[in-house]
Amino acid sequence: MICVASLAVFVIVMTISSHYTNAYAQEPNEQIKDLSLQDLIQNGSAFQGNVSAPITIIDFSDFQCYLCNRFVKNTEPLINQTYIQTGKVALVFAHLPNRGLDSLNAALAAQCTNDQKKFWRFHNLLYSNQKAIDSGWVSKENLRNFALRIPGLDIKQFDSCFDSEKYKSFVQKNIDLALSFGLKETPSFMVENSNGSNQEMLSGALPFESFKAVVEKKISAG
Amino acid sequence: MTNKKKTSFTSSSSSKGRTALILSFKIVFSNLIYIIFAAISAVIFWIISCIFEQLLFFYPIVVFYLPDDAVLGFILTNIIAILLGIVISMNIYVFRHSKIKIRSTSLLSGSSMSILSSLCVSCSSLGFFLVSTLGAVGVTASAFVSNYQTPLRLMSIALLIWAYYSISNKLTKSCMKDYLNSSK
Repeated sequence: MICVASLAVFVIVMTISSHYTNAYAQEPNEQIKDLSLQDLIQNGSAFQGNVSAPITIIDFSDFQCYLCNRFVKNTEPLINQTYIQTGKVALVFAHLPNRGLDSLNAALAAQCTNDQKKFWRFHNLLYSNQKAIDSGWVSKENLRNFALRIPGLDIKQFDSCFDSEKYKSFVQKNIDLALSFGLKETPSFMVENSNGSNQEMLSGALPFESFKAVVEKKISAG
Repeated sequence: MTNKKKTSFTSSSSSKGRTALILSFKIVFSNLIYIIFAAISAVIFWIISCIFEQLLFFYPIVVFYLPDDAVLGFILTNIIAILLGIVISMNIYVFRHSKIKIRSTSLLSGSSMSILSSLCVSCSSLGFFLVSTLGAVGVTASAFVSNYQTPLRLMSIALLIWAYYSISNKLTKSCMKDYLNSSK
């Protein structure tokens, strides 16, 4: 009976772990053409880091997702300090608003702030004020109030962009991109060479050590 | 059993609840096999919970990670895992000693519900499954489970304590009944 129980533990652990991790370390869908850093930036994705950084991390997140907030608070600062500030990694944000009904509005508003190079301030402001999913904290009115708190942001330009849902198709493309890779969970990450090659999927609010393992491997592989 | 033991059984009726909990615990866990059952059940639940709560990762490296925002949840998960192990093991004891007359409804309503609700605490990370399969209803369900993780965990603990109390009471009552019948 103990052997059976041990076998059951092993099977359960392996099934869950393979579902949550290795399943995402798959080859990308062939439909995805180019995910080079240059293309991502040209298409309007917000990024931080050096344009010539050899490694790119694409972060698929939702502003209402508490695990994304865990990543932003605990892991991202270490990635920033260790790899982004040293020019080794560029971090690109991709929208995957699937946690709540208000998530799309938050994504649209955030993308509008990118027009004025204020994306990361808005990003940090939203995560530092995160509340319960769909509790109204990212209602249209509150998103506008968050935008008003960003110094130097032209609110008229923001309103025009946000009210017209200028980036709805852009956000949808981000969602399609994530789904084409089988990514449904937030946060999820794609770590790749900056020319878009050697892609590797990571899923979940992983600690810095996990990113370090992947990034160092890619750096040493050249 | 000796008269001394009979006296201790009779006097236990005054502080029935607490004694039942301790006595049933001693009855079940005096046998090593039930300690092993409890440990295995608790460990399985703990591993699954840690994976769903994104504290334990197997890829790209095996790492256990406890950020500040997860400490409370982790403490509650540990309590649930221990209680779950005890309750499951006691249920196994009951099933294996079928002479003990315990209504199956008490097992189902107590332990099984507790187990289900305990596992459901981990559902918050399954939000994307609900979203992709149920659409807007899934979004709402996912949001509910995410928003009320701590109350759900507390509810699980309450249910498990109730299940433990319930099964302990009936287990010790049966023992007393069997003992009194055999002593006549």
